[in-house]
Amino acid sequence: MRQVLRAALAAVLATAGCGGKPEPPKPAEPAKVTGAPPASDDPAMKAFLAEVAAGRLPPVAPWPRWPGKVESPPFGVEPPRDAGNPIPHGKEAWARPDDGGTLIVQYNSGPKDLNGIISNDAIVTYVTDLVYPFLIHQDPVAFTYGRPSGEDPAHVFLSCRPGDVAERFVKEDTLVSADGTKRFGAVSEDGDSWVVRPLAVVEGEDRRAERVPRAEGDRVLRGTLVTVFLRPDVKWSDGAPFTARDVEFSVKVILNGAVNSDNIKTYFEVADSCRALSDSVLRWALNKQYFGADDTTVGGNLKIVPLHAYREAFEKANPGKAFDPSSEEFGRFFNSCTPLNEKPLGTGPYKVESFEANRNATLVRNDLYSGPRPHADRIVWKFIADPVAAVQALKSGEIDFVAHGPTCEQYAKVMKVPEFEARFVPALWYTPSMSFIAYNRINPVLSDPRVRAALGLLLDRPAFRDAKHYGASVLVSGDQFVSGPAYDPEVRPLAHDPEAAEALLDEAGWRDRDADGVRDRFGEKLEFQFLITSENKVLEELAALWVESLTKAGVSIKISKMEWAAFVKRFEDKKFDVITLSWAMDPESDPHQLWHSKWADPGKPSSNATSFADPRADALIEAIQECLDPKRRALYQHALHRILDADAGYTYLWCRAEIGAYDRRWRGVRLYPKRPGFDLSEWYLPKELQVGKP
Amino acid sequence: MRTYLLKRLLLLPLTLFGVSLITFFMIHLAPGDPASIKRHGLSEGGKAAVESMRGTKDAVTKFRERYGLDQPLHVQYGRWLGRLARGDLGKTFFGDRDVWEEIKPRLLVTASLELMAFLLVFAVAIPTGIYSAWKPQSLLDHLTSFGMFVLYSLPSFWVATMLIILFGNSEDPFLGIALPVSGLRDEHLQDPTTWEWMKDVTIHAFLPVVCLSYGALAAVSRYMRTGMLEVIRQDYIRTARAKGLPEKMVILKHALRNGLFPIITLAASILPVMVAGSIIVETIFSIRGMGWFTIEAISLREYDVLMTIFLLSAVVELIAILVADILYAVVDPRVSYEVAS
Repeated sequence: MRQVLRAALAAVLATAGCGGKPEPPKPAEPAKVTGAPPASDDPAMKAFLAEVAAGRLPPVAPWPRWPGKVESPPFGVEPPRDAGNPIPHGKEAWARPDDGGTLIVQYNSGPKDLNGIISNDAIVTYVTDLVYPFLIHQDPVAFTYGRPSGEDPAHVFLSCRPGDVAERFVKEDTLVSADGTKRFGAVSEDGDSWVVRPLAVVEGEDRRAERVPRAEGDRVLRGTLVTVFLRPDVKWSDGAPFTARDVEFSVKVILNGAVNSDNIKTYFEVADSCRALSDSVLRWALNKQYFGADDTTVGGNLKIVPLHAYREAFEKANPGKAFDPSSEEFGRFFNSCTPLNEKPLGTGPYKVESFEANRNATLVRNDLYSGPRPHADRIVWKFIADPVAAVQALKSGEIDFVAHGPTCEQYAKVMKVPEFEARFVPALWYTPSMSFIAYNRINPVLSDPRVRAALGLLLDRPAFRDAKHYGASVLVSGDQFVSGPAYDPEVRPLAHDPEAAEALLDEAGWRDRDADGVRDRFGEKLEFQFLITSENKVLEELAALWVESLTKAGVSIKISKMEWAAFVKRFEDKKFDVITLSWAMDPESDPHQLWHSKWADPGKPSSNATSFADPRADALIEAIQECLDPKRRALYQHALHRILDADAGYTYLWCRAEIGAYDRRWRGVRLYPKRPGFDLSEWYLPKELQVGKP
Repeated sequence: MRTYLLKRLLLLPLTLFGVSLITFFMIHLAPGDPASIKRHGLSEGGKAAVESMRGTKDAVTKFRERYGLDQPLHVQYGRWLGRLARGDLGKTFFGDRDVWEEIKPRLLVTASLELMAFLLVFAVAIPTGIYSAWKPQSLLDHLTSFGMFVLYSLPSFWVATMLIILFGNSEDPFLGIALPVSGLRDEHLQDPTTWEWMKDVTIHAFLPVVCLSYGALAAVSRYMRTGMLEVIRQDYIRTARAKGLPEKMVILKHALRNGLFPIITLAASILPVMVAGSIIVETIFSIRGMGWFTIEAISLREYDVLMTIFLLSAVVELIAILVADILYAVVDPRVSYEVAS
């Protein structure tokens, strides 16, 4: 078995350019960054990409794999309504939604304000999801925006939700000529010509269909001119009409250097401009073809705030001063405009009735909402940090839904018991997230992928998952969402295999030559520091379990706990040996920030914390960013998944479930993979149960 | 006395300058960076948003420039002192809010809770300590001592959690008493009368105040007992008894005043807690007071907030010590601060 493993491993490592006889450790060279041409321009990489696009992916690394069943949560499938909460016999009328009641929801941390532009707290998004305007809502099941129209499915997309502010959006291409001229429209090939067919021509625009000789056209950028057509009947919650100028204003605010919007500014790097062509038409010009552009042009990255309200507030506070959304003065005003930041206007099904920072936020039904009427009269968000207090508040009737915070142990021991289930529904759902251990390859001890893989094989994740998560997690092998299209199910999670781990360490030249219990090589000990945050007790237990295994295998590890702020700084500055963290991400994430060699320089803070650099990965990442075909992009993502798996720069741990519980009286409940995992506007209380609540 | 008070008051600004200098440099030299926190948000069990990683370097640089964090420390301190002289306590990094406006409501909450706890502690601990000293080695003294030691040794997070479990379950509460377990008000109470408001706040504050006071109650009652025992053994107390004074007068009039010395010292050290709050109690009962705010400010590296809080604590501490010194002289006329000629 060992010999088979060694032979297979040698083949894989030879391809990756490492392995063979161990040599004295060399100081790590900083990875080459910036200024280099795109990897996808290299002929060898082009050939590699063509192979991947044809379905010929790199082989899966021969690390020992966990033989158990990976129960990926469902994805792309409509979740069942009221799972675990059947209608009692004789109460069939409860299947029909009734209006009324107050839904009180717990979350474990409270926001300081409700301005989604200046705040990057997740809770702000969850609260304002029911308040803010959305040009097009993202489908919580398929994660798409709108549905392709019948007449032109490649370019025209229709809203499929009455609450959307836009009724349709049109994506046109850009044909860029060698001399820099740009032509916009649906671009297709016809013999030796490009055909440019303008689609969303608005009044005053002079764009016509034309044929361009192929030699003149340099490249085509798909979907880089986006025209959004708004519904005419949408109003802000104060009655003012919603127009495209509100969107244009919001983009200016986000890009204003004085506004504290750094966390979302970078999403708009893909846009050259956003202009209101009229009150009801908006146009985006993008500077590159990007698979995630919809998130910015019509989706949730675009936080829309009311022009009229901010203008009025600014002019009242600064009489005589010119109103300019791009000015520094306005930027500072925007950051501290408390009334609008705490009670933002919106066009959603609810509006903010009251807000107390870090304490509670109350939403009340917005009668001017153009979509289907939500059922609960009122939604109150209460911020209770302690999970025990949260569950007690549920039991005492203070709240109806514990949305965040309970531990796996509470789920297993407190919630999944008959007394609790008689009144409440324990809820468990998965949103895209992943926990991992990362190895800094700049440390010579960790520079060999065999060593990194061996360390991962020494961690008994399956047993830990059963003992500490009580099954409320899924083992993973990559950094994409385990159920999402970018995750390759052929790459199974690593096994727990101490024997194979020790074989790998022997192979890499690490043996206990001085019989002190710790492996060594060329006078250097196999020892490192494991940095964990002091915020998470489960991680401490994981670390303790790992220490035991590592020590038996002759690896010396020192655990170092650190407070979050200092921990994050060490992570960004890459001043660690081994670290553990979790990511919360999209169902399909852009891997650029985490894995492109542009960010690999160990001297520069970035998210590529392990200083990973691989030209094949770079080529795949650049191709992923540009690829608008979901099937081909999935192949690229899978190939990247395999390369990262072979590199073993991360030991991927699990995707842990979100845990909550709600009062059985509430119905219409669906749990989605899109964060936060629920849509409170769907929940309702049957009429006969609407007693005792205001 | 007047001269002494004047000297102490004149020394106050100098002391505060020293405190601010040391605090400023300690805060800024601690590892961690508000720009990084702004990028990653607060930890949710060690989870960060991968989306927040985009453009890390540029965003961090801009953030530091905006708030002057790229300047040398002594320049930053000078700027802070200048703002303080103008009455400007600064703004928060997150939300750009006025620091004092953020502190005010939280200070009110913490001060109210701590005042209630303070009154409860002294109302119970002083009589308990007096009685224990008056009847030492009695059954009640032994029971009280044992009870106080047990109370003192219980960790507050455990007590808070147990109280929530016992009294927070409306279905089957302990002793039939169901109490709210989070916040200080019932959000459903619309336009309450003064009586309804007082009742609402009292029942919400009951459990947190018990948690805040039981430890101090045990300590104060023991100090009271020790202080009184020392005084009761004095010759002048024997003389007072020998003169035939009622026992009540001997204890409460003659012994108590001198026995209060350690209590005055304790009270002076407890007063700054009214500013600091208790992070454990506030977290478990979801009360947004100064304890929670301070920990959050530390996590977010809100430098201006932390400077204001620590400076405020220093001011309260110094005033408390001064008041204690004055009370010593009031309680015991033999105490004098005048320089002997």
